[in-house]
Amino acid sequence: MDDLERRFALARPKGLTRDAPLSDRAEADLVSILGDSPKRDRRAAADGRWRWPAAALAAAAALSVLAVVNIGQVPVAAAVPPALEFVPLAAADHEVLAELSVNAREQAALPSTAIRYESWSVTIVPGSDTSELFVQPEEVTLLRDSRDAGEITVRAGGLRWGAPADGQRSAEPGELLRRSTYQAGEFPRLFPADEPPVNAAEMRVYLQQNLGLDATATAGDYFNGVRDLRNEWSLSGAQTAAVIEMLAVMPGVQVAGTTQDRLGRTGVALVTTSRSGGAFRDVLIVDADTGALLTSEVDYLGGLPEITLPFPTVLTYIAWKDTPPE
Amino acid sequence: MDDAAAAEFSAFYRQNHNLILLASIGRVRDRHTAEDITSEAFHIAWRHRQRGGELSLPWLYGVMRNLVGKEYRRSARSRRLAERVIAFEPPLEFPAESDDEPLHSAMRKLRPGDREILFMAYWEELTGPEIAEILSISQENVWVRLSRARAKLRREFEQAPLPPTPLTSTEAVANG
Repeated sequence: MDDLERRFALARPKGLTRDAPLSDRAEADLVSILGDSPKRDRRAAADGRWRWPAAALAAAAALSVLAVVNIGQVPVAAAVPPALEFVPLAAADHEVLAELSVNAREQAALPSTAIRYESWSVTIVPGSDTSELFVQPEEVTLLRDSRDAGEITVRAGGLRWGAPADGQRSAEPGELLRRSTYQAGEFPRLFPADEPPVNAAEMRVYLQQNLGLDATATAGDYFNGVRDLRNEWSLSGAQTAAVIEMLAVMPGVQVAGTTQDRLGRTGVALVTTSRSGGAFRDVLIVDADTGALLTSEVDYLGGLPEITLPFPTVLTYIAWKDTPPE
Repeated sequence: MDDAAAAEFSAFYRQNHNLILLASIGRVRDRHTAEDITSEAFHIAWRHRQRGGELSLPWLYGVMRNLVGKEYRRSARSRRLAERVIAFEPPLEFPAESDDEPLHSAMRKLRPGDREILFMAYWEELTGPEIAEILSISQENVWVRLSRARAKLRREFEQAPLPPTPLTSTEAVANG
């Protein structure tokens, strides 16, 4: 080991090595994990279903979190959001996109430092055959001021699909799950404090520069970039139009038709399967009348050996809400 | 669950707990969060074992990576980074427990895959065969990637501007 390697090894957390004695917390965790296993296992053996240990409820209450089994054999409603259904539009894609862009540009700017959205993501456990659970999204509110100070608050949302199994607990809707407060200059962000651009070419460069997208980036990468951007900015009509116009000329972007997002709002779905050789379908749902971004969703279509989920399945969605918080 | 299974799990826990904690710290920067992730990973492992699943380090490591991805999604800091975890391309950031800023700076310039294999080898003390199994690559490939990452780190480190030379006590007094 040379000097640099030694220096690197020394930079790791003090006193923590593979064979170091367990901390008090680690010892307590082990006791907690094993604590009520006999009773739990008898139940599991009796009905063939897993029940969560009481000790795991705290972790489970972290919500969103819901794994899926075989989507072809288990009722979809028991575990994951159902697949989006699209109603094709008669107009050509370029006509629909042009109209969305025009509608967006007609919208006034909505100056706001608050972002609100409902979010849910699947949890992937390699090799798991779990048949849990329920879908309880999170309600996220980001408040940021001009000094880049602010807070991120996460509360439990309502149960959307499925229901907790016996012995399992969902959080009360509205229950505070996490709150992070940031002093001036500390608010975590991907994009600079200056307003995002209002034309398509500049928007593309803006995303490239701030997200490290290069010439190999696919339309799906830009879909995700738009999602990241919308999570930080309440986009004006002109900014939203720039997004739509940017996506409209990208290879692999299609208008799937109208659909309802996870909040039941009707919109026009833009889709692409350009990432990872078609393993993912990225979806953006746009309000037909205003062009506003309503929802981002990522579906897994299969094809990646390291992801053992049955497919197709919903991996994550974000539904933005424009209503300002109290 | 019989005593033998509990004993087997306890041994697995004691053998791998610190490793998973180290690996979590390398990805989330915040030790408290890393401890939560480690705890949750072993809860999942215990459930997996109770359903008759086999426990192994590569499996547990994969669980930890996915929980890290979930944490990133939760924090809403970067959906993009979270998806890299889903695609098994962590780690995400260089942890901040040490104050060796020149080293941190050099590490930040490396690709995620290069950082990860350095963490695995020097922080987590994983053996070549263990790294190979976790990453699903051959041992030869492990050594190639590790050598390449070491070379890149050395290059970045040597190209970094030298930190200011600390003042001697005499100079410090003279400068007030």
